[in-house]
Amino acid sequence: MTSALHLMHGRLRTNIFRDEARQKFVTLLDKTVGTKAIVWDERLTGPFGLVAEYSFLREHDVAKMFPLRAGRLPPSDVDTVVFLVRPEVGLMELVAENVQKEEEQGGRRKEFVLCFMPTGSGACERVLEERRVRGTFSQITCLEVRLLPLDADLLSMEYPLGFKEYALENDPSCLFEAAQALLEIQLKFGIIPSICGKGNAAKKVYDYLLNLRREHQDSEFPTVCEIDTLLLIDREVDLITPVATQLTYEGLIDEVFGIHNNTVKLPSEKFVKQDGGPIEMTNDRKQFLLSSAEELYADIRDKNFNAVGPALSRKAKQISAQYEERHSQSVSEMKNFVKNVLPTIKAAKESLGLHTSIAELIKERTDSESFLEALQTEQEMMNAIDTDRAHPHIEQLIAKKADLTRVLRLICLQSACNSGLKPRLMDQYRRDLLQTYGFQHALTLNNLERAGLLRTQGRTTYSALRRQLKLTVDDVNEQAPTDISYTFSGYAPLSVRLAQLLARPGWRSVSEALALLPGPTLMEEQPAPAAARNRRDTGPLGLSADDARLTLVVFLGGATFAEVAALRFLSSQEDAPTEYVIATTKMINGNSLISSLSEELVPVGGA
Amino acid sequence: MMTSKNKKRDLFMGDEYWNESSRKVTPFDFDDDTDTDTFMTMLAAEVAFLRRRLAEAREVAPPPADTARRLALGEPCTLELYRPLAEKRQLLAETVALGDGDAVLVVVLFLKRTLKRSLFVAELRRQPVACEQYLAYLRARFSHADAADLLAMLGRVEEAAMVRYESAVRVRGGVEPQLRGLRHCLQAHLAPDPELALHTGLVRQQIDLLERQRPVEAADAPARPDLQLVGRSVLSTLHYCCLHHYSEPANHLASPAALRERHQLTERQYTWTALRARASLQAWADVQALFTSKAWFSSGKLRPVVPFEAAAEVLESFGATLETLSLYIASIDGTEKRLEHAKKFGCYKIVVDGYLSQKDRVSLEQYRATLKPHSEAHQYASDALRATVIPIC
Repeated sequence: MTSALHLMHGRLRTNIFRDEARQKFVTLLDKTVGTKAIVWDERLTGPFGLVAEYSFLREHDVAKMFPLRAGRLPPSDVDTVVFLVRPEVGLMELVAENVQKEEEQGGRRKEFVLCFMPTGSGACERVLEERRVRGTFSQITCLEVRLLPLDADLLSMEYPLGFKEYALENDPSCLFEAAQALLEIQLKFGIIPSICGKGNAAKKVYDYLLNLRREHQDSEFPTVCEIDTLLLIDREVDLITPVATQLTYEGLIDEVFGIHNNTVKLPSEKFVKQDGGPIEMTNDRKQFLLSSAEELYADIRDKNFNAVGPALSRKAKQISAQYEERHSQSVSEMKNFVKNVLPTIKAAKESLGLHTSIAELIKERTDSESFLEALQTEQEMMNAIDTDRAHPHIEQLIAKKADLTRVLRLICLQSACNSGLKPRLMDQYRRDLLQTYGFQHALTLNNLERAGLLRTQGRTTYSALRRQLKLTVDDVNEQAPTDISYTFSGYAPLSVRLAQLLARPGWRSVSEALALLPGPTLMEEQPAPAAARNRRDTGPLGLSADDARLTLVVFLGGATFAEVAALRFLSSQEDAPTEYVIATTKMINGNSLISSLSEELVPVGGA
Repeated sequence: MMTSKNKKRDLFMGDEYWNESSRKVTPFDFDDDTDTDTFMTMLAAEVAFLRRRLAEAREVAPPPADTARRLALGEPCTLELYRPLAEKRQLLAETVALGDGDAVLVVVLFLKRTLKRSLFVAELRRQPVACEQYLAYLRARFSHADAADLLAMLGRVEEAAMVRYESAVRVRGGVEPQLRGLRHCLQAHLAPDPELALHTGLVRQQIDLLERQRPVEAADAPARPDLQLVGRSVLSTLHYCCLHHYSEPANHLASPAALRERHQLTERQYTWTALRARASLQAWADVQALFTSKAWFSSGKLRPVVPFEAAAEVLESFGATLETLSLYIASIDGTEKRLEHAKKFGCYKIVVDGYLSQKDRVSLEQYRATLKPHSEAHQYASDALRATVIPIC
């Protein structure tokens, strides 16, 4: 399913992570005898799809796969049942139940193996002890896979609920894992000489990293370091970008349909098979893989959506032109054409067809009145227009009982762009929301407040930040962008602006702006091991000093596709001071961020 | 009977081993397979020796930093050796510094087991990270009561109230347990604290709402068996009451007025909900009443409690006639806006009359062009156009 070739073309060979993950997985599977059934923590099936296809698993005797659920496991005739889960206490109850019910059932004696990803948890084992199933497991092991490559320049930990954990529950586990992932990166690509960061989470990760480095003093770090700078960004520093609506092609696909580990599910009826064969209409959603291995996608994914249409027509013309070449060819050239060129044309046509359909689906949404009204509201807020009173559009949405997540996103945006809401306004929104959607949503509002997305008016920082960091830009060229603000048609993602300014002219010039942002500012140097040298040192075997620098930007708490697009834009500039590789705890968007902080409650019913 | 044949072995074997006279001690050769039995015997002996060593080791605790590291790395270690409070405190501090949340939790649970409650809470107070970790653990295990108590003891009253609230709304098994939980939350955490007045008010509203919904649902169930009123939001409940109990007197539980009073709904909230409910029943008169001032000497002019165009949209969606819609559109303040919306809703009379009063023939002609030929609207516009021709004397 996934070819990994495209992973090898970036500045960092991210395919290493995939290969390693695969290897570790195989080792795990081969440690158990006989046929296996894997019971998956559902949030892991997606990420693992990036690493191992089902056919690959079948080769290693995986006969069945089930999602982890309460109750009894579906019947299976295997030798071993392997549970593959994140080390979460809540999941242990399910695991215990599965095991107990399976044992009760009698029949064939199965072996049970428990595998945590990436590391085990004493607390989890304790729960299993309490439920008296710990002894039933013949093995309790872990699969130390922390980073998965989503692309040649994009790595993700796919750590669920990371932001919630550290912002809301003060649980630093996600940050600890991030530090370990960074250590792994350094063990592969060398000690990174310069570490910068902003935010409380950034500082924590830095501290953990130092500790871990001390622990691993004898480890062999590569002598050549390939990454020049590490930039750690705590999500709390920029809570505007994730709640605003992304306007890049990939960003919109994520907003509208949701991209999970490079796959997206789209309504089937739009994608009828061209050859008129029987359509697999089992589901009303068809799954597609989106990756930069597809040339057209790599070209349009980071463009502003308004530039996608023209790009698609250009591609259509190009394909036509290529196809027309067949008329002016000799017989021998024709043979080559049919053998080599025609298949690529066919693939390009399919790709064009796919993305034309997707773009049409997106356009239905972006042309709608509700979308345009919401966008206008967002732009007004980002330009600090009228943000200190109840916004009529928000009130209208509440009156219509629109989707709560959408409403909350707008209120959080208002809070960020107004440097917090006046207490009276907060109370008014709160009453309105609770009376319209139900009182139980007080929990969600409370969470948003504690996480910093909704706050009462504090220091007025937004207007100064907007000015000093040029967050809003008036003349945006969506077709041929000159600035990262094209990603939101007029708003430059704050986080990426910080990265941009770090590279040139450097953070010392914007220390005033940095002081307005929450959390400490980090600017540290890491001493390299004695034998190390930067790969750009002169030397016959070293790379030329002209090679651009490489910065690894780590988003702690989640990154959006728009931010990735913005960083790629910066890398592609002619006079770019540095190129970027991006890592994050998870890919997020406004909906997933708000959902992660929402408490899902079923209203009580019945007598 | 110690033989000094093999110095290395002496270091491993204890007295227990040597006192077993049945043991045959011979040097063994790893290349010789028949020595497997001997090898097994040696292993057994070594195990026995190590057991003794362990028993001895139990009395001395390794430095807390070491244990913390072992915990973080997942290596086996025993915490029971840390008996004095100072050692436990240090162990916790070391573990927190390392950052592994899970290791922190293991130590916290150990402290909970081995410390008096007040001391345990004091230690948590000193280590906020550990405290949060523990609280999250309690919530993940749905031990809301413990979490709330701990938070209360730490003086974090608002959070304690929230946790109690959460456990109340998460309870399953119907309304009664939820009401109990809410009342408990109210009495124990919210009411006593004036700072939490906002939350207190909201929880009171929630309780009152549930207590209102229950009997209304029960009373209406025979007529509407699928009714699910309990658990709905205030406005959703109001919608229901406006549909089925619109004219009830204010002392009736299901009276919209009573609901409005109790939950202090704004005029806009009330009107918007009532509008949608009555419009769905095509009770146009009721809708009009909502926009009419109740004062004795009012002119009967409509007030835009809800913007007229929004109201018109709702009315249209429920099939209101052009005449009904026109009533609202005509009341829109500002000619531009009024004409714009009139066009949108097809209230041709208003458009035509508007252009007529402005003596704007051009716009009127343009508008007529958009109308269907031979329709009433077209005729009306034509008539108006004719009327604007000024007779030349």
